[in-house]
Amino acid sequence: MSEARKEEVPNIIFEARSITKVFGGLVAVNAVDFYIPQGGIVSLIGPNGAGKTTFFNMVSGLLRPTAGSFFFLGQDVTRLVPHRRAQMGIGRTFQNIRLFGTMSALDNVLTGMHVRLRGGIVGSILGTPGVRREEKEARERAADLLKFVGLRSRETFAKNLPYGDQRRLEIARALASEPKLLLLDEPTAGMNPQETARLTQLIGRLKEEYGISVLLIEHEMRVVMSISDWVTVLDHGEKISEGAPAQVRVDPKVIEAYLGTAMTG
Amino acid sequence: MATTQELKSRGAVLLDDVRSSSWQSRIAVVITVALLVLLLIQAIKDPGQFFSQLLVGITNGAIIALIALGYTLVYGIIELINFAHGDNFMIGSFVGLTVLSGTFLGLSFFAPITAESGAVLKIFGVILALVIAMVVCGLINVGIERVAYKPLRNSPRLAVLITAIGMSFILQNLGLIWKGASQIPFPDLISDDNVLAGITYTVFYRWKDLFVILVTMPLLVGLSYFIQRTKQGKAMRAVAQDKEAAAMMGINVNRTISITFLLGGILAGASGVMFGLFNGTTVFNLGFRQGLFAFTAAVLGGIGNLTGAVLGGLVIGVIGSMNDQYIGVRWTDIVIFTVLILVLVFRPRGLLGDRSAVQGGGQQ
Amino acid sequence: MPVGLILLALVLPLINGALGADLMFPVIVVAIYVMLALGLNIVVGFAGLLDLGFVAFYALGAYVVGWFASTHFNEVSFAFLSALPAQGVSGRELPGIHISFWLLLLVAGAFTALWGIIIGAPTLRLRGDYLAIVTLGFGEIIPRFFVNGDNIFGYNLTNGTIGIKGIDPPGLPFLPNSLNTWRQFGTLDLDPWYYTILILVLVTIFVNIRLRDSRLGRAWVAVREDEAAAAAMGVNTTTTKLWAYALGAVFGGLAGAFYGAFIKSIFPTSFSFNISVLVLCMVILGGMGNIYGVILGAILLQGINFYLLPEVNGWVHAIGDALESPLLSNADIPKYNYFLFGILLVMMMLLRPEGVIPNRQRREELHEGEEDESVVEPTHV
Repeated sequence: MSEARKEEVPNIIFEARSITKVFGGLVAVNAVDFYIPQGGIVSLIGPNGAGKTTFFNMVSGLLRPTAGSFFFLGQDVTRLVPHRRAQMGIGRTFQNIRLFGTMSALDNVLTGMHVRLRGGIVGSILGTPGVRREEKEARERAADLLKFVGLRSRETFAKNLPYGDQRRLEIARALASEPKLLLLDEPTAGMNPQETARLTQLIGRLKEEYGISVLLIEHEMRVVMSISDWVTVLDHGEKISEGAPAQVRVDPKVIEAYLGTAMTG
Repeated sequence: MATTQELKSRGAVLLDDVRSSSWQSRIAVVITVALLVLLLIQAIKDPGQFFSQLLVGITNGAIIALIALGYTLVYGIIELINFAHGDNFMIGSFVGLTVLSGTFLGLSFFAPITAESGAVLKIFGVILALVIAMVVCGLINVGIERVAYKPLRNSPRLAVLITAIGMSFILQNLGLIWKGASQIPFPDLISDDNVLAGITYTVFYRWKDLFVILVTMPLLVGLSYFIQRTKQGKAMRAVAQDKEAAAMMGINVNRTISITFLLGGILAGASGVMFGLFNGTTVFNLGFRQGLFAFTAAVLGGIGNLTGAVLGGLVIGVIGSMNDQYIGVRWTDIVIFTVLILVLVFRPRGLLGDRSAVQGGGQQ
Repeated sequence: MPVGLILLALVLPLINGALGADLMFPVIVVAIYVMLALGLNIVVGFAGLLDLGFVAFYALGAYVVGWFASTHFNEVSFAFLSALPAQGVSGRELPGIHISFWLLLLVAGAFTALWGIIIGAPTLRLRGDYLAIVTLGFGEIIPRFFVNGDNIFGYNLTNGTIGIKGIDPPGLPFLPNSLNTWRQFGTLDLDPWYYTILILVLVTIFVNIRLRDSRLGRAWVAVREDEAAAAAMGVNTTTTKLWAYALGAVFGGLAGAFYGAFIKSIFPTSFSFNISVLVLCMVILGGMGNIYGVILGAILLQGINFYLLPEVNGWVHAIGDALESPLLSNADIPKYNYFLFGILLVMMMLLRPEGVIPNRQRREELHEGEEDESVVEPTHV
């Protein structure tokens, strides 16, 4: 099935080749092959403990796979440290929000821009026109991004923002690094239906307005089914199914894994 | 899997270990082996001197080990480097000195116990000094925890460490106010004669050394019994594993932490008095250096690991005495602080592995 | 407001002269500590790395001036732009290396920056408390090395406990003869020294402010708050931390270099752990991360050292005389200054961890989990 799809979509932005992760004796992710097409929204779903977040952390470089390799834009990135991957264009959010709590919303976004800014130490100290201009532009861009995700308060400390705003700020911060691939780890967790709907719409706009490819981990099946181009299902660290949303939702193996409960939505 | 492992010859296992080891540990092994070979050469050249020095190192190591246990107990339970612990040790030696002088706050309780006193009086004095110092240091440690550390239990770890440094300075200056800035002589109560006289004349093992070991052994056995066998000791281990779960099982976490500090203080008090009697002198800033040595020992053995603290103490004691003999006293501090840095940087789990590593929280 | 303070600082020697006070010496010492505290503030306040061995950089800076502006290396004779006359009184060339103080400031800054990286590099992967102890270890080793350095395989590198004496004064030799005290800074007129350290302090403050508001400043806070998240956002945590160590060390080194020239004799014993803790105390008292708070902390603590404690000593003696208590009338209160600083550290952490003038961010961090009454530490994932 996967081979057929490759022929359909020649532009692959990210590829995982038989990725395995072992913690102690426990196999968290087992020989998973996986890829994301350019401009696609791919969802990674599966019951709790299926290895989704572990897989995610390996994609962003916070964890090293035990075996297998990752390719991003045709380049082997398996051994690259997280900040190098961010530099290449892999941005992410975290399941348990990890904003810089005592930085203002704007500063959080500016920190996300870190890799795209050039201002060096000497330039910053001397306040050279180049650095000043860059800072000014960065602030404007950060303000635009906050507007894009629908956040009003710029100066509030991130930790004092309401929960939904924190989720959105995390997305703005990730977008600030101008990613080509954005990893969203349960972005609608803990959101009410209205907030979820708005966020779903926002993810759709990422693809349309910025041409960003998205890898999504999500529990909310309504979100997954409505915006994904492709869905991959993990269970106990193994890929048990993949395909278009409509295909996956009727796959008996998937239904079995979820015991039918979550798939009804 | 397990059976094939068992079938593998020891040599093959060793080879596997070497292959899977990091370059740092290989270098460490090479350097350690080289140093041991150099020591061996010295040992062959002058065995008397070598073994005498080794025994001195073990004695010093026992004193350090008792302090190290205090660091390791406290770190094991609340993950705090109790920076004031070394200074508590110093207070212990001051308390011992005061007890032996027989005078406190201008009140004379009994005549000073000195080198000229009778044997019975000496034994009585030493035991009294040990007991009072242990009680006082234990209580000081509990008090410090209550006043300075407990309110900060939910604060960032560094805030508590800074408080501990503050407490260290407070204790040190209390010592300074109490006994002044100069070195203070301890009465010479225990004989410098050779225990081994009659058996060998080249190896020197003084009654003083034997005294330290004779006091240390029962303390270690007692501590081990307390932690392994008593209800309170089991509570300590439970709290060290998981405070929340322990609290839910009905363990009084606050009291358990207090008892941990009490034990650490008791050992530091005993160590302080022994240090004074063994080295014949004490001074108000003694705790900083000895404290760092002991902390090095605790980390070397694996912080949170009691056996490790004792092993680390002995190793640090021997490294110190060997360095005194063969490299020079003035380099000893530098050598031991270097050991501290190397262990923290390259093997923070220590030789025997630390408690946090057991919990899987070693890295982050 | 800062402009007013700067103006006040500029005319301070005039005020001192008019009052006939002896302010200049303490003020210069305070200024040295302001530099040290601002340097440490970069490491502890901005980047959140607890450095307990900051005195090492102070010592290294002082020894750079000691080595290259004195007769210490008397087997050679080399002078470069020194304020001293090229020939000694006897007409012979001066023994030792004599390099211009102004150049040595640059050398000291570069040298200590390098040492900042050498000391910082091994600590990068360590947890906060282990990192603190490693820096403490280095901070203890370096002064001890200076003690033992009089015999490095027979070579006298540091002159041991005797220290390096007779360090050359700085000077501006190209000035006309009428500005004698500026051509070669003297011991009687402290104004040239004062203006030199004032400029150094102002530069330090300026650089601190610019760094705080820069891309690097944001990265420091990000690493302090959540290292993994910072890395995932593209912050190179390694270089970010190393820059904090290096830049912090530069100011420690510059302060040390000035101190060496000012005090003229340096001894390894002047660079004890106490200094590291004193400077840390200043940073904490003033408010970690807050530049003006840290300056205030330095002024307050040295004010206590120079004025409050001698004053209190007088009171205690008076009380002792009145009560005829020899214990009190002979007490040496200033000797116990670290008693006070220890109490201060504990009290600050217990009651006001954010300092006198808090940094907005740090206050939030330090009061985190306070509402939480459970016995369990907040678990950090």
